Amino acid sequence: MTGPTRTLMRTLGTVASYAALILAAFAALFPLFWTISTSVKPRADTFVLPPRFFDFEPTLRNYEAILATRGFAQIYWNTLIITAASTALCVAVSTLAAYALARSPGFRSRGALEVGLILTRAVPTIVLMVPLFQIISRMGLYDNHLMLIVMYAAVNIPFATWLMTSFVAQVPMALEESAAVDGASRASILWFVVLPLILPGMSATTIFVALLTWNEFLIPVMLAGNNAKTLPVFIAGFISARNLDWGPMAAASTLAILPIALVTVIAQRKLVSGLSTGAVKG
Amino acid sequence: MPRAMPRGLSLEQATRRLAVLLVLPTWVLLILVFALPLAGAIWLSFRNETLGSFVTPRFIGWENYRGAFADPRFWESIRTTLFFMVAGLAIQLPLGIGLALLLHRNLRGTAFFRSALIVPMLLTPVAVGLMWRFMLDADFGIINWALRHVIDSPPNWLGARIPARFAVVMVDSWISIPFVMLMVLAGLSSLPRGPAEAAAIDGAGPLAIFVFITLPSLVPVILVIVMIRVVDVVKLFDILFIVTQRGGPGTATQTLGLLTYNTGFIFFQTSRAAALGVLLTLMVIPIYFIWRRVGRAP
Amino acid sequence: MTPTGRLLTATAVSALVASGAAAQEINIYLIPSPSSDAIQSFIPAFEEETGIRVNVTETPYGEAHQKLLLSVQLGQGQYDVAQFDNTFLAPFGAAGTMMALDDYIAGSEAYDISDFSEGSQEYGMFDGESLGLVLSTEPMILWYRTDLFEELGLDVPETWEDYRAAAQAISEAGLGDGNILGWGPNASWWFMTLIWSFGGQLYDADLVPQVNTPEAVAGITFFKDMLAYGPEGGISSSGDDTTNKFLSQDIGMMVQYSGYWGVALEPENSAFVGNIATAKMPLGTVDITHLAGWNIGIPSDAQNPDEAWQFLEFVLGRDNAVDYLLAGAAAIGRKSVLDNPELLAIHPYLPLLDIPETSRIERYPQLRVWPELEKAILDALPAILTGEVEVQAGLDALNEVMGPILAQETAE
Repeated sequence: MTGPTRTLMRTLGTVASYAALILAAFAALFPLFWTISTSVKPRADTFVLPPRFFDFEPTLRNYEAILATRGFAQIYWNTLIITAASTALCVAVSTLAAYALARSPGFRSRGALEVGLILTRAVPTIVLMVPLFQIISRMGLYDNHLMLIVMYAAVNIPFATWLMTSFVAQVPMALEESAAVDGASRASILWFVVLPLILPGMSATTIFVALLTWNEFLIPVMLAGNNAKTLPVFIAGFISARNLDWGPMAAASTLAILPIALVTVIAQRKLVSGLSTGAVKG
Repeated sequence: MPRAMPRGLSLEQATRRLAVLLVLPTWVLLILVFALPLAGAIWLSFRNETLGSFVTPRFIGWENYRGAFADPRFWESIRTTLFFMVAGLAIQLPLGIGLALLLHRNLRGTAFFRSALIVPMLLTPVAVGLMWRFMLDADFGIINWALRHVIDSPPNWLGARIPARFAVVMVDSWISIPFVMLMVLAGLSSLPRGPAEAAAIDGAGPLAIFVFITLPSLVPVILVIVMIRVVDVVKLFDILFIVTQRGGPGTATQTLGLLTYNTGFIFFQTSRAAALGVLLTLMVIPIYFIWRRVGRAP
Repeated sequence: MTPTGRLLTATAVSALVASGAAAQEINIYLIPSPSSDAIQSFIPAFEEETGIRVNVTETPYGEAHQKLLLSVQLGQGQYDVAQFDNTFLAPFGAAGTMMALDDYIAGSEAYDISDFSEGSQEYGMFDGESLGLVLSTEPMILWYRTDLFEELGLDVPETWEDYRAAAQAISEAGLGDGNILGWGPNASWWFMTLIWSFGGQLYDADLVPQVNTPEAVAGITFFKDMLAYGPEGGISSSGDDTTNKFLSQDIGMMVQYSGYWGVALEPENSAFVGNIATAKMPLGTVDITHLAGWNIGIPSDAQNPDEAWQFLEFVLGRDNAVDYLLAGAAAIGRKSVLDNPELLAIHPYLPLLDIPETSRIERYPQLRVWPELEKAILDALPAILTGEVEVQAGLDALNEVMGPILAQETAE
């Protein structure tokens, strides 16, 4: 191949790559744009064809309607607080388990734990719903924040443990061995030597678990009433009986997506590298 | 001052001891939230309970399982689930790998594209599902409005059997391609550059390098992706619940998971649903063995 | 004991003492709907008048009934008042979910049951007991666009044949789609309506399915034929989508529950407000009125049934009836308000709620297996409506499927 042909090929390749990336980014972002656009559209402009992309009078009416909904503040607060507490619990518990899995190939109950983790990840929650509802109601924990916190934490443990195990595995064993030679106890090695090194991994795991928790639908829709209601349940409520509310629905969705968008912008690099590490070394 | 290691205990022995303690909290949570309810489901599956106690509850042996096997809806839902898996992977793997390769070229602006492309996997599925349903509407949906510029009669996405199935695959792919892409990207960045460079020097074209060098070394990552996607299709719920309104039209998009939901919560047939759930659980157990093989591959 | 501790104990004791006399608090269970919004708007006034605090739990329709069933089954007295769809009256009755209200109703002048037509009085009755008050009376009625009808000089259809002709005329004139019915996930509503209206029935007195009789086939053939005059998205339209499309696009007619009228009132919701009128549903071979709607009652495990009744009387009593409808709720067929001019101005369909005795009232099948039966119907319909199978063959197959489901109804 001659030089100029090769340069031409390379330029063409680059142009094609950009074209593909731009197309993909458009496909990825359009529904988000359309949600936000619907949320600030007057109703009359929502159902017209050709669709109104920018030529409409933006309005905040839909947001006013949502914010005026009885209990909306509490729903938002519930989602925040449950996400925060449950994520903390999940990451803490998973980190401990991950350390055990990464460092001790043959501890007692290891085999059973692996089966348990995989099954918890693989079995659809719906299978467990009726017994869970019965157990939880009998214990008087229906619609209880603490119960939701524990439930969410438990369902996300397999994923968090999987990620954390690979982060722990990256810490060189030699560091721990030399600390042990210096006379440090097993627990203090974990606390003083390993923990600081896996903090970046923990923060990536935290973000992922928080996202999963924030978005969870089936658990709160079955196990929570009004007291502990979360945003996804509130949004799903628009499907029935409030049949014309696409605008407020889009506004509620936007409000639910907002924190996620913020997290993505701020922690994009961490998310990517976090999942990357977990993915490859898992 | 940290306490010294107990005399006579090697680091490995100490680790093993500690490990048992460290996994205790995980055990507690798994037993409470998973094992107990699963035991409850198994117990229920041999009874004839309904959500409203319409009948005298008693043990009826394998009746619910026999009923499931005799029900065409059961087999259809398994076929539907398999379709979502196969069609989904057929779309998600090539696109995810392709996008990962593009990002891996590290062109200018890659950071922006990477952020943009992972957005779908982060958004609330319930909200996203509602928006897709709105966009897929045959009358005022923006998708068919756009398609009408290209073809005369675009598919009636939510109104006909086959299009509805593809609509689900499309929304599911929209959400999961970023995940596939990230996993492959991670796999790519951990590959040694040596073999590809050597091949290039020997005159191999980019396609040959991809097919004979890059792709084979991605196999472990791809297996992990396949495993996770298979599990997630079995668990698929939010999207079906919202986009096709619980598996419509008719039974076109009713997966086994959704049939379990419909049987238990719409028909009030607690015990029949429990039996379906137990069968579903049995079907995902092979995942564990795959995981043992690929999950711990070096 | 700390001062705070003492204070807390004192409060707890006084709360216990108080609960012996009259409850300070009731919990009500509602399903998002115009009726629910209207009920909630009266809570402040009720709290002020009685001193009883009212806590509201709203649960999306999809899970609401299931969760209530489970909750009452566990007998924890979570709720004192509960809203439910009339479709669930039979399952609730069979499960003993709701308390019989007959004594309360009989002793209540404020509620005044005699203000309801006989059909409406029976609307919440299961097995001879009133398990729920009428929260809305929503017959299937004809909705049509006066502007399109005027332009073509059409008369309001009185029979299904008139309806077919009008739909065809509007379609052919290019003014829009002729009509819309819910051919999608709620097609069962129209399925039943048309079978009844064409003289058929879903099953006979012995619970033997009857959906493949000539009458049923005629009704469903009509249902299918009308799809050709509907919008493209008609085949996937749920009950809500159907209304939504009628209010947003040029569609000549719709047959739909009157309860949706609330959304047709807001100019913000529809460019066609002022051009929408309602009429009695067209006649088939039989004069029937398909009546649906909400009920509201007291769960059988309620801890404060007396206070719950006090609340129901306050919101749904005769004196509050006009205000209740003005608050945006779907109409309740109280005879005393049907000719109220203030209400007629915004609810022009009110006279249609005074169902004449000549029209046979049909309700959702009162079966505990209805949800499964309905799903079987919905599973079978897409192929029939899109012509994948012949109507007769499709209904024959559906009839087969319905048999074993109906047989479960009498299982012990």
